[in-house]
Amino acid sequence: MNDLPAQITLDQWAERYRQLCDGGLREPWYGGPLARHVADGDYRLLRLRYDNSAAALRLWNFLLTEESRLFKARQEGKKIIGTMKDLGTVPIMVYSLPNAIAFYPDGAWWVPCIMENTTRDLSIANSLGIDESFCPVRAMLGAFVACEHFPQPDLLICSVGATCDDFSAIAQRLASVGYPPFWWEIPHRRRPDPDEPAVTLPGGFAAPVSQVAFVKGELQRIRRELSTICSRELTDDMLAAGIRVANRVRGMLRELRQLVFTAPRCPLPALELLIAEMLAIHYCSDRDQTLAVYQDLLNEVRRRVADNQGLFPADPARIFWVNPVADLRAMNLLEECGGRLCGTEFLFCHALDEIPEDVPPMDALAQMALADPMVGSAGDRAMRICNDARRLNAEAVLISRIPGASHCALEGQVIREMIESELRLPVLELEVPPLSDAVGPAIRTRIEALVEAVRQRRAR
Amino acid sequence: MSVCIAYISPFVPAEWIEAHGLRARRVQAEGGVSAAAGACPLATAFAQCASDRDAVVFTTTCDQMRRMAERCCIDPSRVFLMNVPATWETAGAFALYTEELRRLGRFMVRLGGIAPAAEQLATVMREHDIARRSGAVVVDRGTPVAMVGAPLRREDRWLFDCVNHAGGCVALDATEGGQRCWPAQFDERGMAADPLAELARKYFLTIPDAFRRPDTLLQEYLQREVALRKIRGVILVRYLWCDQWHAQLVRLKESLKIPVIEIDLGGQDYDLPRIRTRIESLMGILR
Repeated sequence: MNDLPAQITLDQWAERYRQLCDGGLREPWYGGPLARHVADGDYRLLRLRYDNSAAALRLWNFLLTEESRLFKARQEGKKIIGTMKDLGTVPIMVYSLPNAIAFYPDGAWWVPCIMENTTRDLSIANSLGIDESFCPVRAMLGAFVACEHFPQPDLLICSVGATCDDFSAIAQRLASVGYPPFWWEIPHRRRPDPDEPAVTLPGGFAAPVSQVAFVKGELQRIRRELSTICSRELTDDMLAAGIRVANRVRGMLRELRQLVFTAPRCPLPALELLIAEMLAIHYCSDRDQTLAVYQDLLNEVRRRVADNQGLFPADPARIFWVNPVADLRAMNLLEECGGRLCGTEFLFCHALDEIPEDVPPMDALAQMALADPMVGSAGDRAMRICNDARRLNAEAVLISRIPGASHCALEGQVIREMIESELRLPVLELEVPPLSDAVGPAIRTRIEALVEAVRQRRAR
Repeated sequence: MSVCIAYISPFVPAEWIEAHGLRARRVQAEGGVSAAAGACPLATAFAQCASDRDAVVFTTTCDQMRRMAERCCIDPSRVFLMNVPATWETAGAFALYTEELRRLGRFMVRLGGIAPAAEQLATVMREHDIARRSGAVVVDRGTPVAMVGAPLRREDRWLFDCVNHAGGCVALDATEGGQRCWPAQFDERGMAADPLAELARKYFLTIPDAFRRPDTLLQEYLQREVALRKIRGVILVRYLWCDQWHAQLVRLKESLKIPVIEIDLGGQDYDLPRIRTRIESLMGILR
């Protein structure tokens, strides 16, 4: 069997799957051929290109079976907690309880892409006044009303305050149609005044001690609510254990990212890395399996790096990617245009940083929540992107705008200006809609131009 | 002449600024057709108008205004970004707002203001209360409608004339800057006990707005005022890209059960004849 890394189509995966099975592939219960998900309506899979490893197969199967795993958990009597917007903090609390699992209804923002607009989600959102001027996360509203894509949660927890307006507005609309969330406040993270007690947060941002205390108070409210819903007190010891597992997950992902970004030959495509990063936010509804999926990916990538195996022609342009894309196809496009990922900031770098274990767990979680790049200034976020791009030897930065997202217009400018002035790198800012086929040629041309600019700079 | 503090959000109490011996200037923004796609015209206009003021207070009441604080062309030491919590039902949120007022106070002291004694603050609060309540509400003849939504820029004031010319009258100005954004009357006992706490209570706990979570204060306010003033139609004004008010459109139609139209302000294709026609159509329906 040829185990050289390659990108293959879904059709090619059928033969590859047979080869892997013949070679003794052992899969978890959610395993199987990828093409079966198309029968469930995941038509976008037909247009993507995939890594050909068994580890990537497991990653995709894990991602695409989340819905059935959530329903299974419900049948097993677990409490289903819908966590919204905070991207990483509340799920750690939920998974610290033995009888609860968390998922992000926000994840429905990829439904229009994955299912190529064949569901009712967006038309329902339209009928409720949440039209295409909002971020694609509006699909979440339709998903709730249609009772599709995930079971109705036992509790919804939504962070507001320093969040996107579109998300806050959609969550309020959700409340008005019968799904009131437990609101909690995440304040705008400000820089401490010169004489003010301050804390250095995971990731390096600073925040006033008073803000950490406030967020801790908010998380205490969530803790009480979770304890009530789950009929079990959520103790500090349980939270500390939950944080230790979270750090294990994050440590594995950090190593994976480091290898992918820095290996001389790219050992994992951008699309699979994006999916892998997403798992860290809420463990794709199964913490143990997330660890197992990461372990497989790490083993595969370590092997490829050790054997100097990789994908793509020699010396692709090293691109740092900012913001997640609504259309997964865009990640393939980067590589088709001659680029590779050398760094990412998909809006949730706070969910990748190590959580402090030397402070009480609620303080640690409050620090983590405040480290969210979205709750601070765009300048802070841009600075972190600059530092990472510099450290990872980026040759260009691509900022993908999320259609309708209230933060993108101004934030993109700030990030662009800082990268251009601090790093003097070319920057491309483009908007990627949930289905980018219609604008695909334009996006391709622009990414090709970015790659060409990198090559010209190399030639100088 | 004392330092002038520019602001636009109704959650910045003018009383607190004036009690520090500074001038409070609620900016009525102008212009703001933005070069950046997706950028709020109002936030852009406010940043432009505020850039020649002594100091400016932005608030976190919307994402774009929060981020625009970074883009304002003014010495950063003279820009204050005030955290106004979206949640309002918890003691923690109220305490955060109150603490932000204190932090604003320290900012103003750095600019030359003087921290006010309690009685001094209470006096300014009484003056403002009287001024707010003494403004006689003149209701023109015509079909009563409500104007609801975002703050109007100077060039948007023609909307009121447009309603009048079409045979209506704005019997409820629930835009930001209208009656909706007045704090409830201050309580003498509250002022005697702790005027800053009373100021915070009335501003934070009584002003309804689309950004608040939950938004029940806004819904209850509009239902109450629409019934009281016999409002027959609503003109919802919002700036292009404003999600918070745009999301209210269908919600208001459902809850108020009277005709509601939405008008987009400040886009590059700010289409006055189209807006006029929409208002005339509404008034025609209501006659």
